[in-house]
Amino acid sequence: MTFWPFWLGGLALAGVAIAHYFAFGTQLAVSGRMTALVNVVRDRILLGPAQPASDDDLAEALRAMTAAEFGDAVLQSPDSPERTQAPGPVAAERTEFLPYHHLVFFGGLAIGGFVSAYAAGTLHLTAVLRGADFASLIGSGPRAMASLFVGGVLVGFGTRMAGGCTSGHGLIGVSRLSKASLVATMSFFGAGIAFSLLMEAIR
Amino acid sequence: MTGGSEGVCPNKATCAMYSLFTMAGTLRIWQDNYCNTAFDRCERYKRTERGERVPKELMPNGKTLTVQKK
Repeated sequence: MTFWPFWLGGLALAGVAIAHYFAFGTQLAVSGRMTALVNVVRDRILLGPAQPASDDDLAEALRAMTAAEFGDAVLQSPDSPERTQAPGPVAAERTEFLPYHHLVFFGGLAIGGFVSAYAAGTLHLTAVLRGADFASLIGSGPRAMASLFVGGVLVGFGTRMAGGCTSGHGLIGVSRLSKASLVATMSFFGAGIAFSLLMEAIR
Repeated sequence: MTGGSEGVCPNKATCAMYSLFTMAGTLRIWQDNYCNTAFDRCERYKRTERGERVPKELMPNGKTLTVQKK
């Protein structure tokens, strides 16, 4: 298989990340968008529309959370007069993404993949990944499908547990010198390299 | 940003929870411990920086505020 130049792909990814920030004021997040879509289904469809709470109920819940976090003594502080008032004003959110925004984004990802494969002359339907390599290591048929399913579940679980996916940590987080992203990127790249070498050795 | 940021949270003007902390004097301790000092510890800030949706009920400590309606 012939790949496009790595530096061209890197420049394209950097361009997308930078353009996304200037267009929307937020960082590019792929798994974050998927999480947002799942949250929409959970909050608006499964749980139904929320009924707004009164200011008094809200203040009471906040006081309980405050006591749990900082101790009961905070609530009796003479320097902290307890007088409930309306919440302060809140400016408009920087960017409020709607569900269809996420769907458009994911549609763009799929279209980009099709266009890239078509341009490279590699667009064709296949039942296995990477031809003979995947089949020789994992097998084919139901076994391959089961492996892909389990792998997908593990990727999704790991993404949520790590607070981001490969693009979020590896592309955005590392470029911002985030310590958590550096650790996450080293972990999943290291694990990927180690597992690839292991599979090559036992193949 | 992670790694020891100090100062006032740049998102406070758009943060729904920050405005709730003005409801009563005892709630200012949240601003003192998160918004106005170590905002990089705030879960709301972290999610915003990651481009994730921030639930209105999410507290800076990562817990969800549950309101009992009367």
